[in-house]
Amino acid sequence: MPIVLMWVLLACAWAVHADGALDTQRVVVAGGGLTATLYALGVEDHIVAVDSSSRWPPATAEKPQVGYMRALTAEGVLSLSPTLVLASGEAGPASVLHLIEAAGVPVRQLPAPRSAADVRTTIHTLARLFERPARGCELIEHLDAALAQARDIVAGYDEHPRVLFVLSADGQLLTAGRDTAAHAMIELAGGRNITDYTGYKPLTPEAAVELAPDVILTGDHVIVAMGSRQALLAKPALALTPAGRHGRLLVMDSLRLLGFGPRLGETVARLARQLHEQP
Amino acid sequence: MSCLSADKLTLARANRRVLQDVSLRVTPGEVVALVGPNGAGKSTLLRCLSGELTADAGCCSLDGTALRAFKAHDLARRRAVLPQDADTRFPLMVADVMAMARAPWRRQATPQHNQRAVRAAAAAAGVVELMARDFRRLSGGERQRVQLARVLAQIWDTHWDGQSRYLLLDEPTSSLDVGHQQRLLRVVREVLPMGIGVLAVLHDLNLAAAFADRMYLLAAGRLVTQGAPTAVIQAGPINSAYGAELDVRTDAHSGRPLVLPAGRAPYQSPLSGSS
Amino acid sequence: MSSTVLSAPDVAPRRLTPLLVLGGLTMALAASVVVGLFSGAVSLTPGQVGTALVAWLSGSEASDPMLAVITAIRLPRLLLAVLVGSVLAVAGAAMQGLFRNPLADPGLIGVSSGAGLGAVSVIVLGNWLPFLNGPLALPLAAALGGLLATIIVYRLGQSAGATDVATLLLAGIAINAIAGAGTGLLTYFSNDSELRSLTFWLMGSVAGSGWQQLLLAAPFMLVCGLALCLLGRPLNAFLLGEDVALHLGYPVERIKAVTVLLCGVAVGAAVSMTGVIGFVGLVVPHVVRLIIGADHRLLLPASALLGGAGLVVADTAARTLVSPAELPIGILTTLLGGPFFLFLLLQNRYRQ
Repeated sequence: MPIVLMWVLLACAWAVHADGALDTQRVVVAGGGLTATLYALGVEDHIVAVDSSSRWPPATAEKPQVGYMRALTAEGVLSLSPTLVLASGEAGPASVLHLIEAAGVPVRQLPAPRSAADVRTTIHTLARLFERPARGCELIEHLDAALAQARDIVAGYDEHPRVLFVLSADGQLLTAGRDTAAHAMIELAGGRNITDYTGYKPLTPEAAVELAPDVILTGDHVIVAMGSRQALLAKPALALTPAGRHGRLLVMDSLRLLGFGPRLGETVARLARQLHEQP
Repeated sequence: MSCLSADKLTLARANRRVLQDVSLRVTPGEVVALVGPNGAGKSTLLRCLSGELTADAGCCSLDGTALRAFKAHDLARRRAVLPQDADTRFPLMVADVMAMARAPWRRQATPQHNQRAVRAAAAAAGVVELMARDFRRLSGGERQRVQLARVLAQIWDTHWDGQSRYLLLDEPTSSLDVGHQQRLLRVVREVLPMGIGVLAVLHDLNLAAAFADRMYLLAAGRLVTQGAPTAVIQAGPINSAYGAELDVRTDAHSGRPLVLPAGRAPYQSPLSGSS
Repeated sequence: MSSTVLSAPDVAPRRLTPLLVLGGLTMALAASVVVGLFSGAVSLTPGQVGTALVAWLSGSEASDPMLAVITAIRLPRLLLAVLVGSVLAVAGAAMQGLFRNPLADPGLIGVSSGAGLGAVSVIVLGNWLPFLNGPLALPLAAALGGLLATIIVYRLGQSAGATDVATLLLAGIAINAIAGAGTGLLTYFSNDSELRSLTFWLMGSVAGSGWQQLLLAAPFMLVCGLALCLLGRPLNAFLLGEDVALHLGYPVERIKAVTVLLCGVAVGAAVSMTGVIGFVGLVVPHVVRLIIGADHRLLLPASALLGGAGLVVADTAARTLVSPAELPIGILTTLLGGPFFLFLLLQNRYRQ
């Protein structure tokens, strides 16, 4: 009985700690999707620093940097005397986050979104946290509208193009399997991810040919690294696919494609249109 | 005039005179022993005579031609060097080790000639029955005999061209027991009639006296004395060169000089001494 | 006495004859290539493979993309595996001979870690320095890094015109550590996708090659590999010590320089194509020595053949075991080679 009581108390304390009593005056953000959402909520003045994955909107470039979100340093973050650290589920290391909390700065971690519902939750949580419920509702309505529009677009197509997502092409092809943001985006936009393993793995080149993707999707960083679209499509593994033969290579801003931010609806709609364009 | 000679060699290393004005000659058919205390410059002199080192002044020559004028593989057919201890961690058979010896003859002799030279040298050194053994598993004595067979094979003259050849031995017996020491040096003496001259750095003065025709005594980079063993092994020069107290006697049976360390003085009771 | 010597069998019941060894290993290499040609994620009948090869040899483009898989993907990949495996193994054998140390491998002169640093620099710094981009940037940077590290190690190992092998070894260890730290530093600054791609690069793969890359690197590997095979005699003499080689009339300094540079260029070219593939250079020469002994005239070509066959087998496993995904080949060679190496070591110890 006392144990149950303790749990209840703890749960209440967590709820208060989680939402109500947090001071959001000076916030360090580690996670591109979170930063984009905060800007969309119009609370960018509260942000004192962002991580290197926060590249949208362009105005984030003016914010101080805390580096790569997976390699945060306790002292670096604390030196900005934040009142709150907002971190994506992918941020870390965990020990550093613990250190920051131990130093008296609350750390709020939000799971990395992989679906429209996750994005909605993120917007909702952040809107409550920063006391912008109206703006939050607007954003969610806008997101839902854009997603509905995207769904209509997707529903208008009978076909589900076979898509291969390339994360990097230095030497071998690193491709997206299931349980990845890329997979979720492809499926949302009415495509079919052709690989069936989980996570990002190197794809054996001839399997790429056999899986016969209609479209190759990749982030802009890959094209930068390869020098040109042609260089990527010239790799034998891609050149021999239907996508390679027809030059169907879609390139998108990596953060926008994989970030699952407030622009999700527009991104899905744009990707759906591009996926279904006739070659 | 056939000989391997050093003429007034002077060599400094790190501002230290290692050799000073040293001259030496070895002619075919004789064993010359090079003796002296540690650090006297014996090994350095040997390395000059093998062509490995070039002296600052003076010159080494083979049959009147400066060593520097030889091509490396031409020189390798005229002189061979037995190192103190050549070991390996690789699975080499004795036959492999022996086969290496004929590398400088690749263009001068047929494979049949080379094989014959290897077999003859192996027979001379008594290692024929070791040929199929793993070199690493030989005892120290066997290994040194194989090395001797190898350097013999390197200068083994299959053409009977009558050219002189030289064997330079760097402390060849230092790791051997007395039996192996004797057998090794006997093999060396047996090949002399083939027109081979031998220069051996030796530590054991008695061994040197027993097997060498002539001796050179080196100390602190200078030549102290040279000549027949009876002439070189004299208490005066030996004791001053080595900074030791050695008794030099003459063996009544062979007439060879015999070096004995002067041990501690026999115990004398102070009481009996006073009486 | 001399008559018994002359009639003594030519130290007969010794090892396998060179012809048998090289013939057998050539067959093994051919067999591995054939198996590799017939297996892969795309299952094709022998007839289809034959059709594709005939069409390719007669110079016509295969119309069916499934058949083009054979000539555009499998064939260059197999050839690359053969070349890289051979080069790593023969360079390993040569390094072990030169350093008189059976534990030496091509990585010892810094070539692998130098190439690794070059490659990782391109992967990570490409974001900021646009001239570091392009399909050939990575292999070129890797080759350059490998060669540069080799030259630095070799120069550090020289004093007064002679190369001290022990200093060379220490310089190699130091350069490896420095390049490793440089790679680590770049790793620290890399983001997620860069990190993934450099991790996979450091684990090695022969997947990235088409004909273009293969033809770029092949001449270096071929020429240097063959040249290394010709160093058998002098490297034999090195086994007993540098002074022995010198007294046998070999140009010792030139041999050291030539061996180190040939290894640097060959392995640099190999690593630039495939990333770091471990253990081949160490284990293959060992296995060959256990079978045929340490005569480098035979050891070098035999290592090349076995290395090529071994890497083809490892690569075939890498691209079929988890198809359509792929295992990093460096992981496989180490996973297969490591226990095998231990087995050989233990067996050898019991035999003693």
